[in-house]
Amino acid sequence: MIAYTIRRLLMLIPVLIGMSIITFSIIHALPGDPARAVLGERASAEQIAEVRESMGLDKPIYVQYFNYIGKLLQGDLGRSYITGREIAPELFTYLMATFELAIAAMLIAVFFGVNLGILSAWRQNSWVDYSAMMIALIGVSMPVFWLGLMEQWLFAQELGWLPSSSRLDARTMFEPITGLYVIDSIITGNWAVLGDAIRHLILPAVALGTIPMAIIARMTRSSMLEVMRSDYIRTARAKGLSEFWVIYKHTLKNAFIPVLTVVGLQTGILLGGAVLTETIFSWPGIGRYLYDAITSRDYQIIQSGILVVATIFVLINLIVDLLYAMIDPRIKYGRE
Amino acid sequence: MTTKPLLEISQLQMHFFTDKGVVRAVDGIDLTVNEGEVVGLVGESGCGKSVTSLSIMGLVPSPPGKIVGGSIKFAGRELTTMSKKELRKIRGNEISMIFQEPMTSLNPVFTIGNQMVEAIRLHTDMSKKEAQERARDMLNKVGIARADILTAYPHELSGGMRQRVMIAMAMSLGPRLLIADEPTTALDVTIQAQILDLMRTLNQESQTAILLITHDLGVVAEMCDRVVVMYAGQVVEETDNRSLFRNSHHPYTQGLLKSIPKLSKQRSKRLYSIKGNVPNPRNMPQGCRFAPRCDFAMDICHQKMPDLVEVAPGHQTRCWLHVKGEGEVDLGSSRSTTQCS
Ligand SMILES: Nc1ncnc2c1ncn2[C@@H]1O[C@H](COP(=O)(O)OP(=O)(O)OP(=O)(O)O)[C@@H](O)[C@H]1O
Ligand SMILES: [Mg+2]
Repeated sequence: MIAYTIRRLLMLIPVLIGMSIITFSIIHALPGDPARAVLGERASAEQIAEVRESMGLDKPIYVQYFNYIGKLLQGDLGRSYITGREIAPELFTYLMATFELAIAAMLIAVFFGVNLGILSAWRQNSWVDYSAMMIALIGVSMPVFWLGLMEQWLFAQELGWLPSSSRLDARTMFEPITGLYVIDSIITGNWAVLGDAIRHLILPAVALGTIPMAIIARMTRSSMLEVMRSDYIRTARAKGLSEFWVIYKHTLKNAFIPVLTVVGLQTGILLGGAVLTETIFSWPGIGRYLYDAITSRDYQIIQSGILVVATIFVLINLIVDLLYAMIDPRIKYGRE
Repeated sequence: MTTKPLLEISQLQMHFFTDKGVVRAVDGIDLTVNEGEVVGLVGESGCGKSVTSLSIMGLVPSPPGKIVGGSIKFAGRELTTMSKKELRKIRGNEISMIFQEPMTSLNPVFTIGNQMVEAIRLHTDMSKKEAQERARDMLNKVGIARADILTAYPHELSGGMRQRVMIAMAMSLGPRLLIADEPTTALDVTIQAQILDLMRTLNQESQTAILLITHDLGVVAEMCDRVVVMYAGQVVEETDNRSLFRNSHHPYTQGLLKSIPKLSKQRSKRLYSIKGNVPNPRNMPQGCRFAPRCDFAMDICHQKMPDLVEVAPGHQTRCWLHVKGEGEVDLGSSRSTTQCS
């Protein structure tokens, strides 16, 4: 397992280099002069020359690339020319907000999706199955923005049960550590903040998690049905195991292998799709950060943001592959 | 050998209710296994052997399968009406089962140790350590001495090894009855002999009764005390090992015996095979189910189903040829199993 993990990590290096080249060339592939893009049409020649120098654009292109990589490795993403602020710390804060939302959404999606799928498969062709699959069908066909707005209207506006925007109450004072508020408040034992953070998480996480939940439910159902027919499930029953163990131990572990693929894919899609949810719920996440950068043509931020998001995609893939190897012993021992 | 009945199946009917109609997979079977005895259950593919054995275990997929009549008694307890919970206590403990497909009968994502210990601990209150000891003992007994066997995964073992593991698992709680559904069909000949040897040893050492399902009469000759021959969901002949080979009565049994390849025969001679095919289970013949394929079929055979009658002590057959006053309907002794379809 360790050898496999190391091998997979080494395989990441060329991928990451490739991605850095692509994001690096974004700025250079733009039509016209990036300096002019930063300064606008009416800038004078001196101003442009000055900015070109400060951006390092007067150096040969490979020198520029290595400078870029060198800074990147130190966690330095440069400064935004538009806001003048350092990008890395800012990006990190937004990224963590998105992580918190995405993790919550995925936990909801996996928990409810998997159990709904199991229930369906277990009671195949009964009303339980039909209702569960009906829920799943409604889930996949519901636009995220519509669901988000309905949630806000019902639970925030009408019932007043849950807050409809931002990550914490305006009055809550809190010094984040990791940027994942739920984790931070647990570390510091700050239960009031924990409650507040969770209350703010619920609505956006449900909105974001509904589609993956529905897809996972359908996948789990079909995968469970297939595994339930297999000989080793008959063996498990022949041992006298209860239905609960047959399903949650013997069937689920096998059935989860294809479900895991879907979970991985959906996590990627979810990060991309978070921008809508983040906008509706005023969630200060990476989606909104990049959206703002694109509207204000802040190429520095766009470049860094794309690199970070792409890296996360690659890492999710890696994690999924490692999980495969953990669940299915036949993978680990596969030849290289 | 005692002759106390351990398993008594009587008039068992197990039907599948499918979209395309009712399949009478098991249609009025009587079968008894005494304590410590090895009983063979033979018959062509599709005649209902597996369904019979799964019915005993309560493992027939349901729906579509359903026991619609008859009884299964195990050590005096009725299994067909028992609660699921009680049945689970017997399954894997007092009655255990091994299957035809050793390659797929073990769960690929758990170790051998995990799967064996799980069964042992389910039915006893052994600690994990004790259960592992027991598992290792059993694996030794079936001839697997690999030190790392408990941490091995099924895909690391050969088919023969996996079937040994299945046997070790099935025997680990000292069951009173072992149901073996074609345990050697998927294995090559040398491994087959080893597995059969192993089963015989276990039967002699621990007095475990065995219901051995097979379509190989050679295996029956080797292993069984008594034999039950099934055809199309019914028992057509039941007798002891000796008289099966010397004095079988039913034309189907005789046909099966004639189809065994013999090494001494000239090679050019074509192997005998029973003409025709097994009937469609959704559309059984009205009379004797074997009549359409039988060389000796008479009129009555096509019209009325014969009963299972005793032709000698411990020897029963279902054939008009052996009913008193051959070919005539003996209404007096009619313990009819005939169903209008
Ligand atoms: N799940 C099911 N649904 C419908 N019919 C079934 C089902 N399982 C078995 N049957 C039918 O029951 C009959 C008996 O099948 P069974 O598996 O017991 O045969 P068998 O004697 O074990 O044959 P083989 O030697 O091939 O293992 C067959 O006609 C089969 O089509
Ligand atoms: Mg079978």
